[in-house]
Amino acid sequence: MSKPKVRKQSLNKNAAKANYYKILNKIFFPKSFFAFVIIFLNLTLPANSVLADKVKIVVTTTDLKYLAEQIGAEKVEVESMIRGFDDPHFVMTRPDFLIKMNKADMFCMIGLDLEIGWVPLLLEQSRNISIQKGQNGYCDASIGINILGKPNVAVDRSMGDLHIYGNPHYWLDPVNMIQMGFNILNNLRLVDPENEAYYKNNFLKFKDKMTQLVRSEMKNMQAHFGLKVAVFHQEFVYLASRFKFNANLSIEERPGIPPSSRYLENVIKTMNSQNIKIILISPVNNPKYAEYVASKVKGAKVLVMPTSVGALPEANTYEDCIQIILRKIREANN
Amino acid sequence: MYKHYLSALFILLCFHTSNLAENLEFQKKSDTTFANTESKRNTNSPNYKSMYETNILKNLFVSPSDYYRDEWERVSQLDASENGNVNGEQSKNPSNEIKTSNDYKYDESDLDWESQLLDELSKQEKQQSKFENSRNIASPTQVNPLTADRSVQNLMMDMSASVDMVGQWDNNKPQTTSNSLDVREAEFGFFGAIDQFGRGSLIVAAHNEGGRYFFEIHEANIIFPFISKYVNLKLGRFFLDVGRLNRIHRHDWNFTMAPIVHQRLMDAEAVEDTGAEASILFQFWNFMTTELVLGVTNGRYWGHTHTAGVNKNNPMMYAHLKNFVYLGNNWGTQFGATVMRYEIDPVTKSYRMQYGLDSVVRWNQSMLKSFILMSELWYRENRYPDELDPTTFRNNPIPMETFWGYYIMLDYQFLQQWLIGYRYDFFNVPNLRDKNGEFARNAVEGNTIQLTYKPSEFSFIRASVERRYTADFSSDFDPEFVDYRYYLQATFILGAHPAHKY
Repeated sequence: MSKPKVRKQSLNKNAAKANYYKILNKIFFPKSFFAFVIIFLNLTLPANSVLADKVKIVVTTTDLKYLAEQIGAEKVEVESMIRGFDDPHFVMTRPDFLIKMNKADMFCMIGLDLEIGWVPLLLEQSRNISIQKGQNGYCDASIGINILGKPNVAVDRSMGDLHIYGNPHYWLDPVNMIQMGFNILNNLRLVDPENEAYYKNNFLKFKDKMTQLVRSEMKNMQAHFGLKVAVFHQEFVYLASRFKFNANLSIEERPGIPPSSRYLENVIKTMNSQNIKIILISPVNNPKYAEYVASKVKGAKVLVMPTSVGALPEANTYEDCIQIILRKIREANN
Repeated sequence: MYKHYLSALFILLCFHTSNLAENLEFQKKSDTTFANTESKRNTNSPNYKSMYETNILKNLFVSPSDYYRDEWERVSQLDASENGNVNGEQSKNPSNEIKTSNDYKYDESDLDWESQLLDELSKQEKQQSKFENSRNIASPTQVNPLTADRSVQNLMMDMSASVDMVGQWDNNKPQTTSNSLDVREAEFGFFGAIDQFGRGSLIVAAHNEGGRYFFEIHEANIIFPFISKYVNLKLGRFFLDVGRLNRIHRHDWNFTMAPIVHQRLMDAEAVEDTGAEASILFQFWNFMTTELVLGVTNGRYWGHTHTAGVNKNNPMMYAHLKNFVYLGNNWGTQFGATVMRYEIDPVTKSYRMQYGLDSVVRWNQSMLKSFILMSELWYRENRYPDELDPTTFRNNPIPMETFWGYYIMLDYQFLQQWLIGYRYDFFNVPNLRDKNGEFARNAVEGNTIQLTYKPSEFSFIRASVERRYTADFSSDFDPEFVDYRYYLQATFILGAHPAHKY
């Protein structure tokens, strides 16, 4: 007789235990647990469509930072991923880049595959859909630029890190800076349409500033039109094109690849025969090759140029960069 | 009748003679002009030479055409402009002020830079007005043909092929390597956007296993990068994101052979499986970024296999917490901890718990110098349920198996294309017992030095030497020995190769 009783008790006990687990499950693991996790994670994020006080802009280089600050002024907060003296071709990616991009309202890059080795994956991993290609917050500053250095032949890896869409160092031409500024303005219009007039006004001021810069520097450079210089990397082609000097002779045999001694001898011969006395390099280049060439050409000088804002301590603005580069060239040529 | 023919012939002859005279006069003029131009330019421009030679040859047989007249005018113009005289007038531009330190002759039109600038700005402004409110995905107007044409890459996916060749030699008896040079692995990869939500990747590889090449899928997965602002999700087959080395493909490793602990506990190349993996990114402090990876996979097998594995009661589950501490712009760091649970046998309900610590410190100075210091420690427990003793009917606990090991690796790029590296390996089975049931001392220790020549990011050649010490006192036969192994690795990548995660 006692058996059924025990069994009943046991059953009751089991049922109670099952209920207890059910309650626990309901509390800690509701059916919509996964939905809850997703909603929670989404709620913890700042809503992207609603802007905070300032538009958060993340850019790849300091030149873009300067430019974005000129146009956005007080209404934007700009962060550059690399410093002026970093090489934009080769950047060691860091996870804090992801956080910056994750929080950004707008992302701007130089484009033309300059940042191909590090930006695409960071963009994808940023988990921020509003700065992806084609979105309002995605800005490629190279749109509308007149590109120089487009390859004339089918490009393959034997030619080094040759950019298939052309030379991406276009920001060293102040007229291109105007177009880059317009591209940033265009995105700011879409991201923060309420302040469009403010941005446009700043853009026009910046445009005037650049036009004045070109005018004054052209006058200074007029006596040096036609000057031939050598460069380490083909990054002065836009500057040379604007200010009418020739910077076609490069010490680098192939982009991104150290030159061979045979090629260096060739460069030395060319410099001697064409009386080229100036070698331009940027702080990110290995100076040894340029110094070696300069040691073999009588009277040759190696000039380290601020190719980006902050590349040298005295180059705090874009105007500083252009003025310092051109002044150094003039002084070396005198 | 023949008189008419003769008179016609005479007229033709006269005409031809006059043409010839004209030709000769033109030739004489052009000779002088070209010679002047050449001497002034002091160049060996092949274009000028060929034009000059073509003129001589052609003018001997044909009359001066419009082309030559135009050419004559162009050359004359060029000559005049180089003398500071355009259209017979002295140039108003201050060409005399121009100082050239070398032989380059500027373009006369350069002096008119102000009007050119205005013209350029005006064109730019017109173009910009058409682009207002555009998202710059497509041009709303005809753009200057010199702007970049990116449309050629439309809808294309990135493709790559990588080949990893390894030669391994030793003079041990018995031999501890294959003593041959083989293609260890050939891998083909395809990557790209699937649609607005997903990014796909397919990586297939052929492995050399005992002389036969087995093709298999390494990775075939879809990633949803924007499932939430902090979360992305990967579905499919992939190398699990555990530890540091496991998710990196072998041809991208910083060394030729897997560390000993990796060989023993992560199945030589990687633990790969099919399932889902979520990555959650968050930041508590400004100096530190944290990523938590949570994964669930089938867990039918551990590592590499050509079978379907065994159906299990529970999937394989793992979590990897990664912390990235900001040390400076040139520095990259990662400190991680991993826990994995894997069911070994569904019948006995034995399971494996594996714990790992990983750390990476990187530094670089552009592409010129860099170093990477990397380390991983793995500890494994194989846990078995108590065994029922059929005689005493008591549950006897089965001792769990434990294994642990670690490696530390330093690779220093001392020149742009040269790296030198060192790796220390250690592996131990703590509860290994000898035939008497006593704990047996054992260890495997490796010291490897390597030299890498890396002409570009798409290829490298690496030579390395390993000194390996093996001790196993659980057996009486040769409990301690030292052997040397020599490796040569050559790897190349064709096509696009996606950047690896930090």
